[in-house]
Amino acid sequence: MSTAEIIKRCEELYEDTHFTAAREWKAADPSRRVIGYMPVYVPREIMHAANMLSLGILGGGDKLEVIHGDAYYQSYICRIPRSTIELGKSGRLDFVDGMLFPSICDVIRNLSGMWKLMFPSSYVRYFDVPQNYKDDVGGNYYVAELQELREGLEKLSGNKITDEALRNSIAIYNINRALIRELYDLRAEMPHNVSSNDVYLLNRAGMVLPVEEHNEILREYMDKAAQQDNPVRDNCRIIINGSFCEQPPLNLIRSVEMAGCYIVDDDYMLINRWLLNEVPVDGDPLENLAKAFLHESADSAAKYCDREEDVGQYLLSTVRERRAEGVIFAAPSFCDPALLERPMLTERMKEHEIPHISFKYAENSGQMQPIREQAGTFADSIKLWS
Amino acid sequence: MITAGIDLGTGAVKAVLFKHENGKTEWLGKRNHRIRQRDPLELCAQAYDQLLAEHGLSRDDVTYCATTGEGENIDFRTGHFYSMTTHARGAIYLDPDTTSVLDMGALHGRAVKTDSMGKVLNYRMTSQCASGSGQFLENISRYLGIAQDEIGPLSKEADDPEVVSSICAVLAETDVINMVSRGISAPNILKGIHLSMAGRLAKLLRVIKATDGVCLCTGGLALDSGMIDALNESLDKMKLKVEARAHEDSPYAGAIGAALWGAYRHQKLQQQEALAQAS
Repeated sequence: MSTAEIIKRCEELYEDTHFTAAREWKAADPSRRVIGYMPVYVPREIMHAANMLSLGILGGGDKLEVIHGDAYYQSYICRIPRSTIELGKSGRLDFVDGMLFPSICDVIRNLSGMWKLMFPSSYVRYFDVPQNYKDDVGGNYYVAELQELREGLEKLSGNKITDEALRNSIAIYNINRALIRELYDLRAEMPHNVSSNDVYLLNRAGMVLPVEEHNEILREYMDKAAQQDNPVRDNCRIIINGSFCEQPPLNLIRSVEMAGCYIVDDDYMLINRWLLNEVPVDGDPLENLAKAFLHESADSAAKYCDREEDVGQYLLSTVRERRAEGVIFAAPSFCDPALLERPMLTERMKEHEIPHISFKYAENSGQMQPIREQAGTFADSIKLWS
Repeated sequence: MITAGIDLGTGAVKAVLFKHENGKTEWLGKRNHRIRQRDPLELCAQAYDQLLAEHGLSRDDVTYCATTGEGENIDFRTGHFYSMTTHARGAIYLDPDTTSVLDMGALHGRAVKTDSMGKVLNYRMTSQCASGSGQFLENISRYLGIAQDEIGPLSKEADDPEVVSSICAVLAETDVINMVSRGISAPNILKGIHLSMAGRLAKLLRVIKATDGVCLCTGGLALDSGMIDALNESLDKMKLKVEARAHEDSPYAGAIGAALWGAYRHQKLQQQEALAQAS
């Protein structure tokens, strides 16, 4: 397949709010189970080891009309919980056997409780993560959390999740993470050949496909993309920050690119890159996952930072590593974690004289002209005056 | 070094070529094509190629091809600059006394405050309502059976201008129909429209705090002398010490700015050893 054909397939998966690919995967074998999860991070290795498909639920996007969902939330709440409820209420998730709600914010935590009431027959878990990064405190706590998840999934699937199966799953996800890192490196190196539209859709495909198939798609795309010879534009290199939960519409990403920005890093679907390095496959698999989370994981506003001086350091190092010329803080409207951290991050940017702008979006934002104008003038200011 | 600027506007495509040698800048040529329901991207390519051919050049001779306006999708561009950035630079080139710019195009009106280097200090746009645009004026002149180049001189003959709605094109058109049926003369109708549009644009200048100095009008509407007069009247009325001016090449300001910024950007990239390649 050509890169265009690969991306077309990914776009079809992205637009399919009925999750046909995941339904078909499940229908192929009656013993299979599907576990949905919300951003930012869950240990997908445990689902994989239980012969389950982990299905990323990133809201309903800009195509889904939210009718039921709006009745559950006040107007000052972001859109992702509304559209997730809509997905559930409209039967689009009727094939999903369980849902994991990671610790992002109060809204998602409350959604986990609402889900239990709305879908009592479904396995529902609020997946908490440590806020203490010492192995003997947060580490022990997190291992216990992982063990509880493991036991819950064993009960649901009726299968024992062995250490061996977990090690095998860690190895497969290590490959997936390495390929995603390679994809991001490739984009930073040749953004004219690897567009952010493509990177985004490739990442999204990983939310609904089995990891083995996703790995194949990533390999094939990168092989072809590296050989392309697209013209290099005089665009500026920017990083998108703040979009780790509710996703922007695809048109927003395209608009930022069209406005003269090469996006060289972002925090979309951080789950694909959350663990920064290879997780060891020897030893206790849960301890290995816990150590990776504590000491070698990405940063986002949804992750507790225990030292104020460390806030923004991850972003600064990404700016340096990717040779970025500016940062666009693009957060969903009413996103408490992203919007509360933004002033601290912008302060860091000011301290280091890194140009930056901020705007907000919703997953169904339709008017892209103001975004284009903002991103475009930002690009002009970097190109001419920075 | 040769640089090109292409301004894809709502009503027309403007293309210019510049030569930069030994610190001197020479404007080689220009083309202005009305879009008139043709494919704007094809028209850009056509205007660009014709301009190059006129000067015995090919695309390969161009070091930096810069687009502006709606030209983000032009596939042979090296880079794109936004309209406020290019109009400010183009205005400074055409009239070095410029301290603010009013870009009066077919669809949008845009006020830009600039420094002497063409750096944008502040800007505001009109909303998308067409009553503040050249397209609206063009439509009205067609209804009245007046050629476009007659609009300015006729407007200047007005002795008792009739005010039209400055909020909505539909209401403004209704106003004009009523005026025609009431026997109001064409000069008074046109002047009324000019004053209505000028009032909105003058307010934009006040909002961006461009309260004195020279305001160069750019975009297609800048060649309408009646509009410039109305603008100066409105500025006077609002007690702004701004002199609105136009230049015979005002419609090219965006394209000029793009070509000049392209040259500047090329030199900057050359110093950083990070040149983009014009395709």
